[in-house]
Formats: sequence, structure tokens, C-alpha cells
Amino acid sequence: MTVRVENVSKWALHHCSFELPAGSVTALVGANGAGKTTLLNILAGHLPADFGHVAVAGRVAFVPQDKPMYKGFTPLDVLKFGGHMNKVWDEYRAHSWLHRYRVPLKLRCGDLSGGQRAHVAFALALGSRPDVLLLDEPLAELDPLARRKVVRDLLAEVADTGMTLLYSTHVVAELGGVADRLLLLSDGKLLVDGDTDELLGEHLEIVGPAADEPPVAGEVVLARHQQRQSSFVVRCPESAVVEEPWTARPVTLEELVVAHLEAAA
Amino acid sequence: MKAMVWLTWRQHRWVLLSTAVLALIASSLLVAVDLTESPGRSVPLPAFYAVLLQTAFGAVIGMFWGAPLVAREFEERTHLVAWGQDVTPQRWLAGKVGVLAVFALVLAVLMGQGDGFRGYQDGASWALFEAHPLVQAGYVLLGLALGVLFGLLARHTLTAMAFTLAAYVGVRMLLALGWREHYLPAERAVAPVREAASVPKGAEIVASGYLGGDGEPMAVPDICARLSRPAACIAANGGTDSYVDYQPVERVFGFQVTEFLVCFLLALGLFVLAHERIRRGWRPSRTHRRLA
Amino acid sequence: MIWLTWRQHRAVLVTTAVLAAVAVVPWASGWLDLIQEVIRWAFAGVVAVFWGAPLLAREFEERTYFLAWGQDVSPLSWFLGKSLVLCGAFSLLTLLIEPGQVGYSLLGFAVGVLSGLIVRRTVAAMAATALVFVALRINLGPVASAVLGAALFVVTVTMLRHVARTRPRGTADGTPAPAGFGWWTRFRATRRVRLSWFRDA
Repeated sequence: MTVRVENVSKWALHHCSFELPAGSVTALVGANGAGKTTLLNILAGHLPADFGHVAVAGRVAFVPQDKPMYKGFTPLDVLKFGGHMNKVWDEYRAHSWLHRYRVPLKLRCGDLSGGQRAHVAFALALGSRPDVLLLDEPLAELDPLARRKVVRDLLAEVADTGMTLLYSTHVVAELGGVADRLLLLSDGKLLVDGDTDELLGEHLEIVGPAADEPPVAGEVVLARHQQRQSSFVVRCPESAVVEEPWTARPVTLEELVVAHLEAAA
Repeated sequence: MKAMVWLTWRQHRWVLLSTAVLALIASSLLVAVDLTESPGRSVPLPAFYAVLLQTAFGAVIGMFWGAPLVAREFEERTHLVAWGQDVTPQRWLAGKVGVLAVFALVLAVLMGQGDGFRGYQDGASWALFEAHPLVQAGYVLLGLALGVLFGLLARHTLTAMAFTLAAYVGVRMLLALGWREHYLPAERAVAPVREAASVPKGAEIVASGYLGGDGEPMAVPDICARLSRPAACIAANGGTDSYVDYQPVERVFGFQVTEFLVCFLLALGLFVLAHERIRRGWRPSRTHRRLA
Repeated sequence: MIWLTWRQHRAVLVTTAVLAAVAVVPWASGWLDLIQEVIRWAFAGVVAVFWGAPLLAREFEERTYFLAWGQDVSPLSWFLGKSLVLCGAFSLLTLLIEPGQVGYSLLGFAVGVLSGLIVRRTVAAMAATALVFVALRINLGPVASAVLGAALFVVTVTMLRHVARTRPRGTADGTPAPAGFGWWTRFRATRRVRLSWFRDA
């Protein structure tokens, strides 16, 4: 385990506990105001938790949502800053990230576009070779095309260095195929915590005639009743069997998240 | 260390350079007037500006170097960048304040070179107490420490600057008008009640009045206070001697050293407060924290 | 305009008012007399540095001029309205403390606003204001100060009109009007001082 959060409370957060294994990619999902930023700030050491305990094995890099950066520094200055301020610094890695996204190296950061500034922040974070990388809404400033590229490159960095990546997002549609773990926050409470593949295997959408209960044993996440038909999103063992007239189908990650959030709302 | 020197210079070079230019001009004016042959009756105008800056130099350092140091980081949210690296927040603060303090001390020594008024140049004088490198050094350290602490507490540059200015003016007045005369017990010159006690040349008068029969200062009765020559009235009311408490001019240097030490200790205390504030507020985010 | 000015500047307004109150209330202590003296002497300087300088510089620095000048109120009337309210407020306070100083306060405010417009960074503008104001304050009488203040204010308004005019405005049929790049813009551009709105435009 590289990240351990035990019973942490702060402002919107209530008694959150989870662990992240080394080298995992975890998506922290939740509505606006769910406590994602608070949680990341606590992990990065910028906020003390009111209650509970946080432990991170190794060096942390944190890129906040608004990608703050010294306006008067050029991207080259930022790399120099990273080199001076860190014990471990991979100039090549940082430089190649800026190069890949064609960030002008000699303009002041204050004059860069939002997306370019985001890349400078990523380069600074990656250049320090962190063991744990925390990204708060990393893709917010990027256009849809760049988003895919950035996600792919970040995953490559993870595979390359073995670091643990935890990133927050509220764009559920972009989760598929990226995160291998999912943390679902709602109103400061942790609703779901687990491996995405296992979660997908456990959740079923079951549709059938109007009924109060689904035909299988398990936790009902969400129930929708219409006049002649009921549908349930159920969390049940993978071995569960659904018989006629009920039909079952696996849910997508997006449906899973939405079901949990809707149920919590 | 090298990292913090680089960072401080890269971030603050413009304000450092402009203050240095200002200090160089002021100090050259102060010294130039001292070196002119004929001592003038009044201060020439350029030197007057220089004296003004000399009086306010600690406040300038506090407002323009100290207050924005942390406050601007908060305002621009770059503290998340600065304090998210391997260099811990405490070391960041200590490094920056250290580099700035050394630079400020150099400028302070410059500022304390002359007094812009040839008439008093020969020997020490109470009137030009501030025109000394040590005193200036104390003031810049005090201003810097005040600015940094207020910046850390206010997290807003303008507010921090205003508070720094107010606090600096307050402390400076307290020192110059309240404490300074009492660094050592004053000497007392005593004369018969109808005569004025004579005071050595150049001494700073702390208090004066009349002594009663017991040798202690007595309150002047109301009826005497109205008179322009109260001596006879005082004598009739039991006054035996007149006295003047003063600080002799030989003590100026000792007091300048004391004032530096007072400012230095105050600044040190303020800096420790700021350091503690940062240490409690921000854990070093990249040290290896062991899993429990 | 009164509401906006109050909402944006209430902290500095209240602080200055407290300062003025300290200077006006008759205390019976020698210490406070001295503090009052200092406040009386420096009040115009406080107005210059803390009211005048940040007025425009802050809008530039925080890039809130997009907000402030993007409304139906034109930049000019926005500026005039704010200045009027602030001038009224500090004149009143100065009158309370030391009637002879009103001219200095006006000069200080004008110097501060103008240097904010030129420098466009709060702290730098404050420093420039302090320097220029002290030099002027010592050399000028109150009447000359008021006249110079008014003149500087006119300069500020003229410059501001020019700056504001360089903002692109769309025409009625939807085609964007060409941005008016005046001498001011070229001057700024050659000095490599970035004015992002010209580029964004």
C-alpha cells in the first residue's frame, strides 16, 4: 500500500477510509462539493485533517485544479525551479512533456493559455519523479482531443515509473478504460471503493415485472418502478443466477457511478 | 541554500534591484552632504529626501519585501507549488527570509553611512541617532520580520502591507520616544532651586523638575505651575533643588547597540512565530512518511 | 456605483475611517497626541497609497477589468463613478481631521490612480505612488496640489478612454470590429509588458 487513509474527517469529509496499492490508477469521482479537493489537499499535506490519520509512502506531487504557477516564470524557469527545489529531478522527463505538447518555453506562464499552463504544472509534477501523483480535475482546461492524449501519456508514465496515480474528476463519461480503481464520494462519504473490474462484475441491472424486490440476493443500489416493470441495479455475487421472466445485463462504469450517486441523492 | 538564493533572486529581483537603487541614491546623498566643505545651517532638499527615506527604510523593507513574501503566494495560490516540493515549507521560509535579510542588511549599512547634515557630523549625537549602520540594520530586520508574519497571517498583500506599516510605525515610535531614554538609568544634574542645573553639551534631556526636602522629585503645586518664574513659589512650597535627568552624549553608541539588539530580538521572536505557524500548518509534503 | 464602491473597498474605507476617528477624538494622553499628529501628517499619503494606487492596478492584476468593463456601464463612467464616491469619502475624512489637507489628499489619490494605470501592478504602483507623492507633497502647497491633482486626474481619464477604446466591439451585423490599436497599445507592446486582452482579442 502506498496511500492509506484512516477515518479522516475534515469539513465536508466524514470518516473516510481507504487504501491504494502501489502502481494503481484510481479515479476519485463525486459531484461538485463532495469533498474531492479537500481529500486531495489533505493527502498532499496542505490541510491537516480534523480527525483520523493519513499516511503516504514516499514523495507526493500534487497538481491543484486551477494549476497555479508563478506568472513571471517562463516554463524553463519552472523546470529550473523544480531542479533546485527537489532531491530527485528528471529534467528529461519534464522537458519532453513540455516538448510533446508544444508549450512555448520562453513565454511567461502568465501569458500562456490555460491548457499550456496545465502542461507546465504536469511537467513540474512529473519531473520530480513522485511516488504518488495527485491530480485535481487534471483535464478541466484541456480540449477533448488533448484529454485523450494526456490520459494516455499519464498512464504511460504510471506504467513506466510504477507511481501511484490518484485523480479526481466529475466527468463520468471519461472513466472507461482508464482507472483500475474507483473511489466514489458523495456528500463527504465514501460510497464505493474498489477495483473497477470487480465492481463491474458485481453490479447487474435486472429488469422484469413490477416487484418490490429483485429476484436475487444482494444489495439493491437503485430501484426504479414503473407501472408494469421494475428495474434494479443490484450489487450481488458474480455467481448469482437470474431466471425468467427477469433479464439481467452488466452495467457500464458510467451507469454504475450514476446509480450510486442517484441513490445517495 | 543555493536553491533558495536562486529562487529568491528569480522571484524578487525587481523589487530587490529597485530598493537597492533607491538606497544607493539616498546613501550617496547622505554621504555627499557630509563631505561638503561648509557645514550648512539647514538640510539641502535632496538630502532631506534621503533623511526621510533613512527614517522610513525599515518600513519600506517590511512593506515591499516582507509583506508580499508569503501573502502573494497565497493570493496567487502558488504556495501549493512552492510548498509541494522536496524543500520543506520551513526551509523555504527560512531560506527566503535569510537571503532577503542578508541583502537588507547590506542596504541598511549603506543607509546608515551618512546623516545628510554636516553640522552634526563630528562625533555622535542624539539628534541623529538613526544615522548609524547598526540602528538601520535593526530596523530593517524588524520591518522584514513584521512584514513576513503579517503576510502569513493576513494572506492578502494589501492588508499585510497596511498592518506592517501600522505596526512598524507603532513599534518605531515606542522605541524612539518611549524606551530609548531608559536603556540605562539617566544621570541627574542638581542645582539650587533658584538656579538652572547645567547639563553637559549634547546630552539628551529626559526629565526636569524640582526636588523636595527628601531629595525625591516633587509635584509642582498648581499655584506655581501658572507662574512664568516659579522658582520662588517652589522654594516657598518646600522645594530645595532643581534637577535635570539626562543621557550624556557618550552613551549614544552604547544605546545604538542596545537598540539594534532590541530590534534584533523582536525580529527573531516574530520570525520564530512565523516559522512555527508554517511548521504547524503545513507538513512537509514530500518527506518519506512511514505507513502506520 | 455607490454600492459597488462600498462592496469592493469597504475594508480599506472602514480602516481609514477608524484611523481618522483615532485622529479626531480628543484623547487625554500624550502618547495618543503623537499618534494623532502622525496620522494627520500622513493621512494624504495613506489615501494615495492605499486608496488611489490599487484602484486600477488591482483590476488589471486580477484581470477583473474583464468583469468590470464588460458591463453596460462604460469603463469611463465606471471609473468616474468610483472615483467620485471615493473622492467624496476621503475628502470628508480629511476635512474632519485637518481641513488644510484636502488638496494633498486629492493630489495623492490622483497620483495613485495614474500610477496604477501606468504600472498595472498593485505593489509596484503603491511604491511608485509613495515616492512621487512624498516628493510632491513636500514641494507643493495645498492649492497647487489640488490643481495638479485635478490635472493628473484629467490625464488619467484621457488615458483610460484610450485604453478602453482599444477593446474590440462587435458591429450590429455580427462581424467583429477591428480592434483599435492605438499608440498606447504599440507603446505597451514594444515594452514587452503583456496586456493580455489585446492578444485575447
